[in-house]
Amino acid sequence: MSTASEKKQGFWREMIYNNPVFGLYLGICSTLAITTTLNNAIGMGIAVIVVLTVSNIVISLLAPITPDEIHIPVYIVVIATLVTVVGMLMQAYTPTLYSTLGTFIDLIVVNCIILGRAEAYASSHNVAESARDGLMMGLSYTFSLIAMSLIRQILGTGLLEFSNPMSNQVIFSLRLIPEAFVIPVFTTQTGAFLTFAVLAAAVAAIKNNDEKKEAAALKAKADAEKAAKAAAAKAAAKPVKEAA
Amino acid sequence: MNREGTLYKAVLLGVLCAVCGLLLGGVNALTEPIITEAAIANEKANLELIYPGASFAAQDFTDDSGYVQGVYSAEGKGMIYKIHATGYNSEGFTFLLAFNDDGSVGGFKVLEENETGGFGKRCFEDPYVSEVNALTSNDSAPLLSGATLTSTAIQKGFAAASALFNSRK
Repeated sequence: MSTASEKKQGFWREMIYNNPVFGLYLGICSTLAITTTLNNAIGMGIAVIVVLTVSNIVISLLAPITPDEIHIPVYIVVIATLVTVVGMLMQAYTPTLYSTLGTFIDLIVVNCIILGRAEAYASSHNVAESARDGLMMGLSYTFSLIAMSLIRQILGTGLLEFSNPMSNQVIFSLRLIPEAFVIPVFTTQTGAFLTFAVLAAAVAAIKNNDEKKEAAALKAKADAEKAAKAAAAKAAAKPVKEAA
Repeated sequence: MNREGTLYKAVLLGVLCAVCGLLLGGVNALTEPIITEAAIANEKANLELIYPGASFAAQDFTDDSGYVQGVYSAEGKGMIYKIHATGYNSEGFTFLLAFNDDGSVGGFKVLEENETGGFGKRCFEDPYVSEVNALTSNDSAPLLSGATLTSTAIQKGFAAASALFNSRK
């Protein structure tokens, strides 16, 4: 993580700087596969938020009593249990969404973001900090999925549509692009890679821009300090000269 | 207990697995009836084609042949088997086959098929359908000349369903 990113504390800044998908390139497989509709993105996002937050809390609680040699099996058992629970609840209450997301729900177990945060953060921080980290990482991931799915759905189908995941009833459906002008490739994997590349480049550009600004600010500050020191030295030397 | 000792690690993992198992068991007990109900709700419109107004329940089954995709009981009427088989078209076709409680065929309805018109498609039209409807669980589905692949697939699916039905008696 860069110096610039560490200093950015706002919600949206955190969404961009600590974004696991476009910033850290984690969890890309499911992102590319399921972001064909807004429904999929929100469903998957909520599942990951729940698993990530609860796993971070449980792992943070277990960390003090877990020897290093078995910490990975412990994490995997906790994460796999949570994913299975979330999968069963989704199958029961949102069957359409469950069948659409299919195997990607089960594959949350091996999502790098979950195990990565457990290993890098939750195991060495307290419960409250770990819960916050899980929530923020989950929200960042969901934010990425929503951004990808909005672009792909609108350009690929011309529709902005969202339906109730429990009853499958359409809540809103808005045609933004006439059917004759849609670009169906965006609903395919090629479209997924294109969208991902554009968004990753945009996030990198924002980061680079901020880092340049920060470097310029630091340079200006250093110059000002140098000038102030020189002025102070000059001022201190003058009375001596006058006295001489 | 020494935290670095093997016993401590084994106990910790054992307790964790037991807690996770209990949690999964609890959630499964909560969600299983809802999942079963949802599965039947999805299939109910199809099942109603054979036994209108019946009360349906999904049944557990083991089918080594791989033809049977679902088994449903219709209370007081019989059993319905959802079968997927492959004839001439490589995507295969799906049909429902029902046996009444007395063992006679209660219905034969195709749900999805894309067989060739005038050939395989004849297996889903009369007189072939009437012939199947006149069978029992101890019979074998007939083969149809000119639609050998499709009727053979139906025959194999029929055999798988009748084997399951006869084993329940």
